[in-house]
Amino acid sequence: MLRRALFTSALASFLAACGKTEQVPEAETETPGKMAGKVDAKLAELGIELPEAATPIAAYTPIRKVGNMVYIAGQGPGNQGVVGRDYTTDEAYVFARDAGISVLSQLKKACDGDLNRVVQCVQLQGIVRCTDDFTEQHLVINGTSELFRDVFGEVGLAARAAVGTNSLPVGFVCEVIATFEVRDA
Amino acid sequence: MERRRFFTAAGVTVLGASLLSSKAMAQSGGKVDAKLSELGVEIKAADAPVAAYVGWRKVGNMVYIAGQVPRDENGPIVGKLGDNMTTEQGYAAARACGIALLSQLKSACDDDLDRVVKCVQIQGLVNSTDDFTEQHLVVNGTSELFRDIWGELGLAARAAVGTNSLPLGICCEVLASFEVV
Repeated sequence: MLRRALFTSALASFLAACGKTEQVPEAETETPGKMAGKVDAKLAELGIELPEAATPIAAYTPIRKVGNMVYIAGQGPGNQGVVGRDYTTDEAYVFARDAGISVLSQLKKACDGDLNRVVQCVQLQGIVRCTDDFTEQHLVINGTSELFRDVFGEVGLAARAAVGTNSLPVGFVCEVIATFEVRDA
Repeated sequence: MERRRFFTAAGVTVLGASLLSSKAMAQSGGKVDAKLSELGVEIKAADAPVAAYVGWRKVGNMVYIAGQVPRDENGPIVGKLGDNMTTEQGYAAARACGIALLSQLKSACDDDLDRVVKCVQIQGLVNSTDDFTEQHLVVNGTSELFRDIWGELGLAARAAVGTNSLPLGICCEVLASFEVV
């Protein structure tokens, strides 16, 4: 209950920060079953259309749920290449954002289509395929983190780790793995 | 409930055993803080994140801590194992990551590290050359610190891996999750 109250007030202050000063009606937050809710509106405002959740490319499942936790398999963008050689930090930022959009597609599926059930992003691990001397993995993965912050507010920021690697499956530029806490339907 | 009772009893024992320093104890909890000073480990205020993330997230009794940067008096410890750092130097850096994790954990526990039940997971990433193969010995710097503090419960289900590069050029990065009461 306390967590719900906290979340409501966080939402309220987030909306206030966006210039929407009206109070969040209690009833609205208590009935997240209503589709096309706040998060969908936010996505539309950001010009993001969530694609169909990607199907796994190997022997894994894209989503696992345990209690109120959703674990999402590593998601990559549509781009291949090496940061520091083929792409700049800013270009790779956009790819990390794309990978984040794929995460949201999986998350929406895990929430039966209702992203308003998301309580917070818990963990995010971002792996950047890069040259040995590239040291801005954290700025690349901001592409994912800032997307989640734009969509969910401060609760969209995770306990995060950004790391480099010399190689990724199918040549992905980056891969992001995330866990979220969600509330019951 | 059982665990809480045990915890309270343990707390009482510690307080009883250290009546002379009860004033200091009242300030900052007890057992773990005493262990830390015995080990000469000083927990500073948690580092502010260097990008768009939070230091830790809590879900129920689990605390998830963001990947921590190793620091010494000169700032972030940069380098590459197998190139310009020895395994022993890497071990010391991983211990520094462990101390940074403890700062975050302490903040997540409202300053009371006695609330820690166990370390659950540790992932240690070591900036390595292609032929360096002692990542597990480097990350022992974190694991053995936690074991020294909490005993067997400080040891995690752990993974130590190598990587060709890390943010800011740091030599290692360690993330962890803990169960707390």
